[in-house]
Amino acid sequence: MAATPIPLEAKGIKKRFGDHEVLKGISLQAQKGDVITLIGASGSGKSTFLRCMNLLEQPDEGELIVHNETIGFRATKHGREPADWKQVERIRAKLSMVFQNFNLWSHMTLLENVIEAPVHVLKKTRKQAIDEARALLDRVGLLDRADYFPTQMSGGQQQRGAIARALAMDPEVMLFDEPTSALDPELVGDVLKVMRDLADEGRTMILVTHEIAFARDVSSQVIYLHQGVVEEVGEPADVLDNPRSERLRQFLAPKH
Amino acid sequence: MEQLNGWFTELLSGNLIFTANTLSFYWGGLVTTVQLVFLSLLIGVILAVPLAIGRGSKRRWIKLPIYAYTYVFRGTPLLIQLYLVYYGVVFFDGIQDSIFWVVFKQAFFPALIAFTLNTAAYTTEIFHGAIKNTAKGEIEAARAYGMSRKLMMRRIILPSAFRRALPAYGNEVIFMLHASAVASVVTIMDLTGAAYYVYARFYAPFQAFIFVALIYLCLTFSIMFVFRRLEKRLLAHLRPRA
Amino acid sequence: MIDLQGYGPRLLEGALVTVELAVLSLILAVILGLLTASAKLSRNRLVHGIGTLYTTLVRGVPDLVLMMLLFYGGQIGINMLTDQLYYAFDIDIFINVDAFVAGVITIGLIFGAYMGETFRGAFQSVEEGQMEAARAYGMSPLLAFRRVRFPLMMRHALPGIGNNWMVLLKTTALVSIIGLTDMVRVAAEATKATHEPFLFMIPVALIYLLIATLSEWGFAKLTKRYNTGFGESSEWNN
Repeated sequence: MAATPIPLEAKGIKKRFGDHEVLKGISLQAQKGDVITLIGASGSGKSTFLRCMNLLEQPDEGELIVHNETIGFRATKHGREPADWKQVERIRAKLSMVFQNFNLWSHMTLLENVIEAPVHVLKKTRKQAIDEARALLDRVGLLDRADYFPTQMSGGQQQRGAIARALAMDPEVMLFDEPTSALDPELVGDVLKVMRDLADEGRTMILVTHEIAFARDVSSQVIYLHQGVVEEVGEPADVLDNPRSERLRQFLAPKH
Repeated sequence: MEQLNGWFTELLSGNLIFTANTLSFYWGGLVTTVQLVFLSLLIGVILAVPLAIGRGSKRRWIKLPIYAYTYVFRGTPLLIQLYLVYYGVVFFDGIQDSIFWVVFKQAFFPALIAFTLNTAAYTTEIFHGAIKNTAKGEIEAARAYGMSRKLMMRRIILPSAFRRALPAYGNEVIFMLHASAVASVVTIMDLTGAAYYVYARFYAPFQAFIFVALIYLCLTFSIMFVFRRLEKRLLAHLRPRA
Repeated sequence: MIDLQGYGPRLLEGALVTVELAVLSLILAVILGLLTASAKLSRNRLVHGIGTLYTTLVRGVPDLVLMMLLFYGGQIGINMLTDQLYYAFDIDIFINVDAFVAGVITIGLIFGAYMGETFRGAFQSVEEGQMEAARAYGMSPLLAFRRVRFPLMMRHALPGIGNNWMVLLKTTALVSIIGLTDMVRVAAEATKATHEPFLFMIPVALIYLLIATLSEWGFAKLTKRYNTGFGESSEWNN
């Protein structure tokens, strides 16, 4: 049990914006190969929780352990802050995030986007990074778009490119923040297909999504958040097909 | 070459103003203007990069002095700044005894200092605006991929900001070329100085000033051309692919 | 009253010249700018060409060179003209080019070109639907311009006018070179006489800053007024 370290563990995460407490103590444990899906209405705190895991938001309370390494915090007059930003940078490099709005760097071609962090953060050689990047672009079906700039690609292509960028970090855990929400409906399928492949090959993934059917298919665990609290948690069959609370039942009911 | 020379002499023999002598004045003026403008722009950019980064700092003791500097230098005429440096430089204790006096007693260096400080102020604001406009999501992605502040500035923020600043900076270069005409006021024989000399000597304002205006026009168009090319290359990412 | 070695009153007079020059040039520039914008939007190719030539020439040549050309050349040009009048019609007049008038005309001419670009962009940004609506409600072309197009255009033009004004204000310093006694000229003369550059140049710089700061404040107020009906939506975007 202790032999394989747990890729990501969050304990009792709390976060407030001003007077509003967005997360009221949420915990999660991602074992290797887990696909954990966070669902909930907008404002439930699911994206904030995801962003706390790679410290794009600073949790006010709680503990984060990535691959046996606990992130240290110190108290400042502005609230709690990471004690060692170098540690944060090291840990972020192990947790690749895929954003709702892709956030590809607009002044770089797709290939340059994919090799940027491997070369400058992981200090890989340019040649090695390019070889790996081309293989990844091929995998997401974008090898012919390697020299395109982000604005020259469709949303679906940009998101698949962003997934290739995330994979190039060879991450411990992949974080997906509503990766299909900004896409036209006809482009969603390609992105979901790439994500399903990743789940099938045993990637550890945590994702925030509105695609309930997809969540049912790929998740090992589904967490339903409501107003900053875990309302229901369990295997997709339990949570999604036999919701216990009225609120989740309503949330899952087909929208008109 | 021989033929060309003969043709040229013939052309010049017909008029009294544009002799080889005055043309060499204009040529000297052109060289001085280009040197003055190029050097001040170059040093100005080097100063403006750290200033622009500091201008966007959260720390007030860094950003406020920089803002005060750009506010003063952008809010007052370059001519005043030139006068202040040109007449004020002797007030630096001991400068007249130091080895620097050899260069400072010429008007070129006070002018270079004034121009540099002026263009650095404008350029700082141009870069600051461009840095501020970096897409939030791109910065977030850089953080999410483990980049340090420094790396992010060097690899993500500045390269994309410089590209966005290019059109505004092109205007600043042209502005500086035109503004450099005031150098003639402190005895510098730049293009305008040469034109004024020719005007005063022959009392021929139209020839003297229209000729120099045409030279400035050519310079302006050359600068515009260079920046168009640069924009085409460096802003390719903003255009749809054909 | 600060004496400044006896130069104080003259410096103040100079400041007044600077302000008068700037304001009169601005008025001329706005008029020329509106004409230029109309010319550049005209379908008549000759008119369009003249407008383009004017803005291109002015924006390609330093202000100071244009000023010298108009001031020194203007005198000779007018002399030639009056000579012609004398020979042809026996009309004997002499017109002396006044530095102030030359200054207003040059600066007005220069900034007319910049204003032209500002107004052209602003005119184009008014949606045709707005004018169609005005016509649909029976407004005459003039009334529609005055009540609909002009206020809408001003919203887009104001930032540009503000920028041009700030640059124009600083450009007035150049008239000191062609001999007009504005505050820069007074300060330059005082500096040469007393070798006290800081004593004279810094107050002048401060007056420029004061005018610039007041203008900025004034333009902010104006912008707020012309942004009626647009302010809320832009707040939402932030």
